[in-house]
Amino acid sequence: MTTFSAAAAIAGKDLLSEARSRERLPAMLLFAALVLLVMHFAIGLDSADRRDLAPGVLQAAFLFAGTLGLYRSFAPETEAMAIHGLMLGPADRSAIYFGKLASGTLLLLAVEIPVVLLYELFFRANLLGGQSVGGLLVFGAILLCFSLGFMALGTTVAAICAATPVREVLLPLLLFPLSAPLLIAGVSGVRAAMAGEPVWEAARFLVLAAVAFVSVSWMCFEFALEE
Amino acid sequence: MPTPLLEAERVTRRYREVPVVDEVSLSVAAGEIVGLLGPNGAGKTTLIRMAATLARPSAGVLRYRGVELKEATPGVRGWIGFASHQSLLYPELTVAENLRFHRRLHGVRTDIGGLLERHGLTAVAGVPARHLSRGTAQRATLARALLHEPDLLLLDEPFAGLDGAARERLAGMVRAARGRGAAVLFATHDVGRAVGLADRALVLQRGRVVLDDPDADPETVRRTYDTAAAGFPAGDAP
Repeated sequence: MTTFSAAAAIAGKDLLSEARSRERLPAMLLFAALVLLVMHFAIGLDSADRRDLAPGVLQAAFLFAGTLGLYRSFAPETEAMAIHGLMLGPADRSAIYFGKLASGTLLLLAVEIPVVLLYELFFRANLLGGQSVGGLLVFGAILLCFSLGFMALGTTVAAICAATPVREVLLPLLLFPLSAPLLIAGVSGVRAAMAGEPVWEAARFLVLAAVAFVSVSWMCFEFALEE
Repeated sequence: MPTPLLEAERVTRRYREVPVVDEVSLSVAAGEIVGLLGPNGAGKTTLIRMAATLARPSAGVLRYRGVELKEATPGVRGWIGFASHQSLLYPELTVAENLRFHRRLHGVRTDIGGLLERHGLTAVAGVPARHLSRGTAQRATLARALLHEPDLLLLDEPFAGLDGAARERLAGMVRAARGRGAAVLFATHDVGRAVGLADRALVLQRGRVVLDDPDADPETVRRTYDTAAAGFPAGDAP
């Protein structure tokens, strides 16, 4: 059994579980939409600062939705201690990390796409219309790398928190400061896209950050699993 | 003498410097059922978890077929079947989906239909694990633990919460595993069950083995267990 095929089995199992329970995706989507709605009224559509503030609102919506998803990502594993079943698989235990990372990233991306469309509606951001096809692809890469980097960190932090009685408090306290570089790069990417400027620089930073976060979190994950 | 399937040599596990398992040595051979007896807090669960590679010993050595655990962990896990009083099943997935997932995880080609039939689970194959009764969930748990035909079966309080018929069925499955040459180590605080099912019973008290005598008669095992449960040092019972 290779690490890749075990990771694929775990990701498939997570997505099937989510399709049955619908515990995470609707809540993530609704919460992100509410963040946009509340901030839309708080900032005001005609505000002169809208263009400066709106990119941060979008990233905050992703951050909150992603955190909400992470709260429940280890719940099926700990409810009947199914995590022990995963740990007893003959593949390398990093398969658990990559399986969880893949399912978490896919769920976050599934939230981000409709949220970007809502963002266009609420903030008249011209995020997608002002870009060439190449620019749109790079913007897609920004979303992907943000999601990957955030979930890379979040998977390990959620595994650490799952074993503690104060996981709901601990998860954002650990995760938000660690994900600050991703947030800053994400905001600058969205701001550039809204201004019709090239988004390469933010994309490049996010690719590097995602690679670094995946590597570091992967190395720490097995320690997080152990008692 | 054949190499034992599982061998523990002065294995210790400490939590915050307090030894929960304290220099335990034991061995389990192929085709042997060993019962691990002890009152609550004796260290049975911790010892079983270490043997299942779910926790690391603080000191001492665990060997599988003579190979030290640290050197061979991923491969060794394919030889182990583990079940506890918790089902280890995904509540939203059906019994068949849970088994198919674990089959894929173990990279084996077990016939799931046949496995369900052998464990009396065909009627509940499409039922989500969340809705199973305690006895049925335990059967599904054992089917999951046995689907890759492990050489070493580790069971932590497998009889807890089961009625008489379910206990007998589970005992039959454990004997069947022994019949095909598997080594079985099970933890319990049910002395009658341990004496009736196991070829050999070990008694743990406060993390230490206080009885490991293959020739010990059931009365000696019961008396040693009662002494351990009462909290007296072995041999000092009033």
